Amino acid sequence: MAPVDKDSAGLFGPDGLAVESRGFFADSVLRLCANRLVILAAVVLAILAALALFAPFISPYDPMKQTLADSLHGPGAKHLLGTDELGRDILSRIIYGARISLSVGLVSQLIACSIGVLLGAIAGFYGGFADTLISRTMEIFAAFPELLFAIAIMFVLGPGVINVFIALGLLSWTHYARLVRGQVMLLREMEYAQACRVCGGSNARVIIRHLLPNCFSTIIVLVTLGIPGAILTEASLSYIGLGVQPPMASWGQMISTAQQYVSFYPYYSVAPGLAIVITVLAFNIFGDGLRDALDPRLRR
Amino acid sequence: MGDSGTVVLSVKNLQTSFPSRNGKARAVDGVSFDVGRGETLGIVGESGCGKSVTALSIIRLVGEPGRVEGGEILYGGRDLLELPLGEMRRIRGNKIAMIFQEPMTSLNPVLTVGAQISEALRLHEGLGKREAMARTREMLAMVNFPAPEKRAKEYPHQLSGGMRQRVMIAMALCCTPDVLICDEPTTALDVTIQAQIISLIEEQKSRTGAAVLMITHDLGLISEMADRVIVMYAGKIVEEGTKMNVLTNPLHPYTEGLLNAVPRIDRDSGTLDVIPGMVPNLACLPEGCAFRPRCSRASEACLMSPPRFETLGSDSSFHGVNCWLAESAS
Repeated sequence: MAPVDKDSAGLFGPDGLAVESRGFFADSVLRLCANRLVILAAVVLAILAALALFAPFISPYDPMKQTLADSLHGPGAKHLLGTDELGRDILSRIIYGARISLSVGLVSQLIACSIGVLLGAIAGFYGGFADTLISRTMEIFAAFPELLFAIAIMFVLGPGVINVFIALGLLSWTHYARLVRGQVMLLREMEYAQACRVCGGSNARVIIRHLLPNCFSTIIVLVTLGIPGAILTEASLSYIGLGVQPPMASWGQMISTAQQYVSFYPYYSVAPGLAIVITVLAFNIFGDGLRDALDPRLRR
Repeated sequence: MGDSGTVVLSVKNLQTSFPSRNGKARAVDGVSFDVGRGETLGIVGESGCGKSVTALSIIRLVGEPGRVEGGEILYGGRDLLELPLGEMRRIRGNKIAMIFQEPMTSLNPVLTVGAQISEALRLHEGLGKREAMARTREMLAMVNFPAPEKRAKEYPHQLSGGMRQRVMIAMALCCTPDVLICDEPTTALDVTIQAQIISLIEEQKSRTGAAVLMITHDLGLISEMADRVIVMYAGKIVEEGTKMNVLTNPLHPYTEGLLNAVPRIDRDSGTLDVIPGMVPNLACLPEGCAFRPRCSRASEACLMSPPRFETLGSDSSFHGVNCWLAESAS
């Protein structure tokens, strides 16, 4: 072999131009940033995350502090988004509500993802009886209408934030399991899986180190797209009083309360409603963008 | 049998079969051979004659629902077929390594080349991340990778086919195995790269003294690399001997047919010779000799019963054949 200059080795394309070599991740980030709408969504999500994280420093009032004299005030200089029926600052309650919504979205999807990826990988890799058992369980879970199922679980577990996490996790693990099962079934036949076994790797190693990283991009997309669903379901649960309990602030619960005042003070329900719409929309746009960016078939 | 050094791996009467709708398909049926240290044993035959299944049987990775049903695979005084799975894993990639045909799909697209080579090192030699990476860079340099530090951080899609096959070789050799199984290592590569890969394997063989099992249908590769040759047909060894004996004086009509099918630069024939017909269905082999329906010199005797393995020649010029013709001639 002819001696090759160390730095330029193989980095030049046939036309003599330097071929930029980027990793998968760097490439995906670049593709993600090419879409302006996705950047906007990402900025919105970053702001929401900051609001949730730093709620005590950002919110102008204590979200629980009642000032009955100021109840049901419209938006104004003192209370930017007005006050509720107990005189609590709506803006502060929405900021604190972001904590609930985001954490419900994230934690429930992480629970769902852990259960789903584990069971899906086992079903897809081993097949046979394990697959039958897990697939049938998956179908049973998926056969229930989502909200009714969530209500049933909440009824058994009782209301509360932690139970909302669990209920929503149990609700959506089947999405992850189905996806990972299919992917693993396909990937386990790949020669690099065999190559790992030939190198002395165990089945667990093949799955964890070789198969799951190949499913990673689809899992990430599913998490991002699963969060808005979970936020909506949490809002629905809180709306019917099974979710977050007063006096904690949750967007769904705020809408539920606002309903009583909708005829003479409609503004009360608009603010938390908008918060839900913006958050869900941002997650959906970001998830779609992420899916496009991580899809190797769209790679140029 | 081994004519160079001590026997490292000895396969005795290996039987591997797959259940099929028409009954059991015996993909490997009574195959026996030895490979010695520093020796290259070529296994040739058409697609579907049991070469690759033999290789996978040795490392006990025959895919479901296939099963090794009998025989012995002796390595280091132990029968690999009897070992518990954990011990078998310690041998795979460490003592017995394998290079695949398809370098395009044998590397994981989401892991860097360096991570994949160091995996075996970390598994078998208990090296830490940094030590393994250092050894990986050494290995990459050894398989003539330019700029190994840089290339170790690259992903498979950034490398050409020849480069990826070098990575596979580095992966296979990083634990200095005693036995290296090459399953059609050059089939997917173009000719100039083939030559480089062959000389690389030769170089590494002489460096480590590994026994090489070269599975191929490329007789040119066999004449280049092998010391001894086994010709397989329908799961059985039909001819075996030193490279000279088998390639210059083939005794089995199948070997002859394979050799005639190779294009020759010194012969001006318009069309290439082919062996008529196809490899038979392994679940329902023809009666008598399995090659009979395709054999131009088949006789009554071939229909009666399968031929026995006849050995001719002494140890140093060993030659054996599984054919009634040879039997009647002797």
